[in-house]
Amino acid sequence: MKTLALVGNPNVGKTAVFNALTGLSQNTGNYAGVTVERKRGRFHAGAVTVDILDLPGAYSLSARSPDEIILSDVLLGQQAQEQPVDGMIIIIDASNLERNLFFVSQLLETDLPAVVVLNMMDIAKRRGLVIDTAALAEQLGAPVIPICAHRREGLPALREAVAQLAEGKLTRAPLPSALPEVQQEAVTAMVALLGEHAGAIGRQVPRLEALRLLVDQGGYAEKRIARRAGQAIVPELARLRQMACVNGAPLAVQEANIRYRWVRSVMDHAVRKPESRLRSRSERIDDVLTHKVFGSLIFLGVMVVLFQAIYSWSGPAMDLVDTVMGGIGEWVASVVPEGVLQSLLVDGLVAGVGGVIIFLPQILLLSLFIALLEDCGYMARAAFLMDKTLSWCGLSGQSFIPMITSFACAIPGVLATRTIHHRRDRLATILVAPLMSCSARLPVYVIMISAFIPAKPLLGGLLNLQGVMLFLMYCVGVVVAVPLAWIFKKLFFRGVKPPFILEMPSYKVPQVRSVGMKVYREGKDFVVRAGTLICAVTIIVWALAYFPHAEEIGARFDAERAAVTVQVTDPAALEEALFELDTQESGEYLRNSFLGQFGHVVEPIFMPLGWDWRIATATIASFPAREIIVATLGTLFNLGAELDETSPGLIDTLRASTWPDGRPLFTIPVALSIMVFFALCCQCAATLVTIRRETLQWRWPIISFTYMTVLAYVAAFVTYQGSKLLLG
Amino acid sequence: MLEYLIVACIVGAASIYIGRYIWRMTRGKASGCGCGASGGACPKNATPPSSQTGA
Repeated sequence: MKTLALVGNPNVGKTAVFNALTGLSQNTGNYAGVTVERKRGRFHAGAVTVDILDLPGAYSLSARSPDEIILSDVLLGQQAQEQPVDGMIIIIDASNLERNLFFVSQLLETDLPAVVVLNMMDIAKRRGLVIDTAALAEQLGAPVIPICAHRREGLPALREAVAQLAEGKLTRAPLPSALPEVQQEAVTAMVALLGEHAGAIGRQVPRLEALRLLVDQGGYAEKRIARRAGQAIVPELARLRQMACVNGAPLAVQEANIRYRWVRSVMDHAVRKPESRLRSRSERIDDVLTHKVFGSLIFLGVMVVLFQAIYSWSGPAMDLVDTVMGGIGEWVASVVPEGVLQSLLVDGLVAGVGGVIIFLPQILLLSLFIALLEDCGYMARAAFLMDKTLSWCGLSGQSFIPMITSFACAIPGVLATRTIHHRRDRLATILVAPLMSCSARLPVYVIMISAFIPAKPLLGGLLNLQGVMLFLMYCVGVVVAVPLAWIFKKLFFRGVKPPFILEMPSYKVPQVRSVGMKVYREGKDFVVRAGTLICAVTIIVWALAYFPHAEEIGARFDAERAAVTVQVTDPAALEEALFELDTQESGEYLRNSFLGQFGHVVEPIFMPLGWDWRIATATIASFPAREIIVATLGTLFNLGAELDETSPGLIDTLRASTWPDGRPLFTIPVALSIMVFFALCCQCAATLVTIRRETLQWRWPIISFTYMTVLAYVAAFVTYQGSKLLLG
Repeated sequence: MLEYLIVACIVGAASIYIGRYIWRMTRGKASGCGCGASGGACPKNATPPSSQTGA
């Protein structure tokens, strides 16, 4: 089957076109670097079926960062386990033709058949650009299809052109190389040199790749060839580059000049610009949103309102889910007879998994807000605003996109570091990205804040302390990440601060479909995870906390109950005494369970943080995935049964729980230390595996895990002891 | 007795699921992450960077 590749600059709508052609729903966002991975989908049009590859965006074929390497490798047929592509669907931002055509000129020098797609025609029209598509097609030597992908305009013509491309009906001659003769000779000499090393390299290097090698001094192409052919080839490359210099100007500069000359000539033939350029709506909005003072204040305000809204708006939905879960628990208890199975279902599954599911509304709200910010184009502005802060620690705004992506999940955050050119900056970002509070931390924060932080109104009732506390918890990761990145840069990754070039996309009204898909996907994954991994861990935790369930404990308490029944005659006093005995019995079973015995061994380690063995055990159980703690706390504290029937929720259970001497277990310092620990600890096996895959070394996930765990412990200790001193 | 048998089966199935999950994840086959934010960029779909480039 044939394969066509979607290629173009970043943030021109390649994934939107991919989704439109294949019917898939890959993530899109209005900022550069959303796609860092190649994605495959299938396109059908009548009898034609073809595979479509969605590739990361790039500004040129000179690959520097890992995402650009994927693109150039696929186009040059160097991607392992991937057949060479049969054609290109080149996507251009019609409102930004001049910059886009630079890359197009490189792409069209390949001999691959191509269709050129002019996306964002609506914005181009709004800016007064008149594009003669027929003239443009003539200049480029390939058909040009105008579309507006997010409004789904022009898609039938695009489908037809893609079908023709797949059928091999669209052939074209490659654009003649724009380089003058002296550089052509250098390229020929380069091809000959590489031909001599073809054995070591393992193949004949085509002319286009030889040109990239000549242009990209110290780039990916050079490193790859040097690794295969040996370092001895490097001086030869330098000699040929010297040969290609004209008046001392390196080939890269000459290439840029020559290509932009070509671009201007194409523009003169095919594009009519307005007489006077009006400032666009996006530029006018940016005057405020990227302002040094107002921009930062607005950013801060947006974040505070976001977390306040997450806290306030989700209340009714959470109550509804809570009521449903409570009803399920009661129904199961009424249907299944009292015993081990009822305990597994009610104390284990319903209390554990139900305790996690209750946070679904907040997860949905968080993902809704993130999706809206991504789609409207504000993310790039946030990165721009953060550049100054990050530059203090030696990173750039380039690191901010992966970091802000990590607020939803650290895994795409780590993958998003592929857009970072310098290895040391990429590693520093990978090490600090998991510190950002991902959505899995949200349930932990909410449960602790709901239970122990008063809902005190602030700013005349506009905000309340609980929402502000949630915002502050999300700030913990950023506040810690900045100095840590500085330390990492000083210790491991010394080097100059990289330059930061970020394209500011036009503001757009978020698309309902795109936002809806992101929220749906997030919600679905959360529920699936609660029903699979969290459910399985809850069952194991329940089993370890239930067994061995020694018979002598039951016999001892039965005897005590019989004695009390005889001694106490007042019915109310008798009921109270029996309830007290039931609670003691549950506690005794739990303390003597396998988990209880383990918990008492590890308890001394966590005592300085103010935690008892149950919190310690739940924390240890949640190292594979941090949201497990909610389920584990639900199971452990439900088995302890230190609550009466009128307080069935986990929050009430936690509030009612005590130390053996009767002191309240959860206090504000304990809640704060738990939240700080979870904010900073690396409790996500999937993130560690991703770090290993991205860095190709176990060293980095081990460093991540170790430093984050130690940091979390120390910070939780300081928080507990400090807040205990302050609050008395 | 039947009650204990059912519980044993459920606990056994959960243990197998967790064991399989850990095994698959260390081999890079399980998606691992539970959030839709990954948008298909989970480890199971990710192309490992070329061994020549690394991080």
